[in-house]
Amino acid sequence: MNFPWWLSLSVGFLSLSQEILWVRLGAFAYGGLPHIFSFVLASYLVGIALGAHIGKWFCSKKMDLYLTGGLVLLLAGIFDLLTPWISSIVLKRPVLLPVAALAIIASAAVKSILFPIAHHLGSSRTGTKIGTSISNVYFGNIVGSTFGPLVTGFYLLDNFTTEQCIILVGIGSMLLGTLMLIQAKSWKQAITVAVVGYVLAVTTMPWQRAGVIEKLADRQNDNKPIRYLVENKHGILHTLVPASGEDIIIGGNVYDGHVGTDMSSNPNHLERAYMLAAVHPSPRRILIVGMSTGAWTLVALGFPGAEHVDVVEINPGYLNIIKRYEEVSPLIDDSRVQIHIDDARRWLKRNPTSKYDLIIQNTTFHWRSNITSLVSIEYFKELGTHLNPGGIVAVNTTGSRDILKTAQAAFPYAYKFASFVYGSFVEIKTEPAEAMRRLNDCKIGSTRAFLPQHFDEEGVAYQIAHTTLEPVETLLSVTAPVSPAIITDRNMLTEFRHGKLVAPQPLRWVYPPNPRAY
Amino acid sequence: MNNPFRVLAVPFFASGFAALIYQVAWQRLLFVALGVDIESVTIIVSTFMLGLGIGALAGGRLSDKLPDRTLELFFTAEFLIGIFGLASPHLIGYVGTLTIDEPRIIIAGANFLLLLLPTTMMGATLPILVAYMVRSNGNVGLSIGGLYFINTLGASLGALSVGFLLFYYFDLYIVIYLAATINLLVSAFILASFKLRSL
Repeated sequence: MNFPWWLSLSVGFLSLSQEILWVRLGAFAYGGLPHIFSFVLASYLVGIALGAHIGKWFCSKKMDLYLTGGLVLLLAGIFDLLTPWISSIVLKRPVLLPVAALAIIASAAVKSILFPIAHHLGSSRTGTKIGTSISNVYFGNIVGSTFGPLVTGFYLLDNFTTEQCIILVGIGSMLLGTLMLIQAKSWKQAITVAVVGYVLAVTTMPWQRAGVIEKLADRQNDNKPIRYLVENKHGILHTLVPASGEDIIIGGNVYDGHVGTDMSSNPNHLERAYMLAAVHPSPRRILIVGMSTGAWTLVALGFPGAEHVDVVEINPGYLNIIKRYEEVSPLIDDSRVQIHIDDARRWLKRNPTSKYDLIIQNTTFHWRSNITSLVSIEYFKELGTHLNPGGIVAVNTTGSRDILKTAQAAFPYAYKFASFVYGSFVEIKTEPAEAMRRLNDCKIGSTRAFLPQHFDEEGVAYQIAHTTLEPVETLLSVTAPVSPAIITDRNMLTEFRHGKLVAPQPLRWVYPPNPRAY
Repeated sequence: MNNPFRVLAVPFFASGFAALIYQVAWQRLLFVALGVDIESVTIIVSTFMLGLGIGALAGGRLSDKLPDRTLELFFTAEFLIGIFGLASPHLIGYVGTLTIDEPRIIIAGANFLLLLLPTTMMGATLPILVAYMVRSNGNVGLSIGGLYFINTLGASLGALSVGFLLFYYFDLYIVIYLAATINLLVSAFILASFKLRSL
């Protein structure tokens, strides 16, 4: 393996690593909007294409490609080192997205200039082995492109912050550039380029520690301070400190919930969970899909008769956060709780005999990337197979009428309460007196969940017990400008057609109607 | 053929466009079988890359062994990708159901084998066409830079179209069938343009 082969491999490694980091930054900045992946990928590919075009031009000139390549890689490294600072500005506001696209294009282009150069240097130009020599160098690039996502996505992001990973890619680019300069024909020119490059890198150091995640982090309207920030390969979580009350957990830069179970302030709107205690006579086995702050799990553990709670959570980072809050940390040591770090849908498929009286899913917003796998009709039917007789599935619709419609299609009985839909194979009825008794038995740890005043006529427990659940059928019979539809794995309705992103007015005619546009 | 790039540019652009549709759409289908965690994403990306790598090695060697049949090789690759594309939604679903209870490594291996054919074909096309062009112009950098530019530009438009347009109108299966149709049209174009029998 000669130098051009390793050059091709290293450029592939650095380029794909950088792409992953841009996707992570973009996804974080826009709370997991599904279009961001396409936006970053398309911009990055334009950059790669432009870089290849420029590299082609260099190859057509009679110049020292080692000197040129070294210079380009030093510039690429400096650009990488400044990426945290640049991205903290250009990803902050939607109006700056065209500038973000330019930044992503530039960051990809400077590296991919090396793609034709590596092939030009490493392939024989004549003879019967042209194809073989080209494909050997190309293969090196693909090997690097394979290991880039593996090492960066799997190892680096689990052990370093996103910003540190970007800096590492920058240092890698500069070192690779230096290795190219060492092989340049003119020592004088190579040293000049190296000195200028490294001086520039040092000069820009004040901008390199930008705190990009802190700057892009959602701090809500009043710019709340961040208490904890957890980054791992699964994502980025942070907690905010409000002026008063319980801390707020933000997952992937969108609101998750509050840390706490106090029913007097009730910032988590836990009446949506306690409704289940009010309507189910004996919820012994409970499944929680998405643990988040742990508040809902703690509430479920306190339901009268709760014997076992399975929790499926995809991001172990939540455990790190929960451990730091004494209000919710006891659930980790509760012998009735079993926490499974897994994809919920996969876990359900692999545990077909696990049956539950209650399945509670309070995950995330209906418009986020890949949420389809937790709100589609196929998934709801899978949930149905995990219900004990009389069991109830409770899912947060986050305001999506499509999720209501889908639940109605999956379960013979579907009801709406606040933002939740409750589905079952039996009719769900509330008996106020019985519900009051059950709510009175609910506990958080060893303490009663509700205070006596909560059972007064204006109190939250009284309100829950006396609420009549609204059948989804009745609700959906009201005409709306855009009718809700059943979400399937194939149509990904809430992510795209009925998703958060609504085209600006001049482009509306291109797109099918979206309820959010009305 | 004085300037093969002029003839190859449009089909190779379209080929890149279709490839990115597949990447995004197959990834979505595989998520159902594998889950949407980082391990699954890594398995999918590595599977794609490994297939492309094998294709890259095979493409150049095939091109050297059959220097006069380069365009037939390109035609075959695009045709096979298109045929696989048409069958892929059902095949991926079937393999997913078949392996659901198996350990993750078996699921990854089964999907790798499944996607080996199309990804190898995709990986082979670039070295095949570059070798073809180098035989005309004698410049590797110029040839690979030009072809990679046009193919990646197509890929970029494919990525943009999937997220911002196609998923708004069509479901996953239809989008994949669209990509397959593009591959089959590309192969038909190559067949017609170069009159394969006389090459």
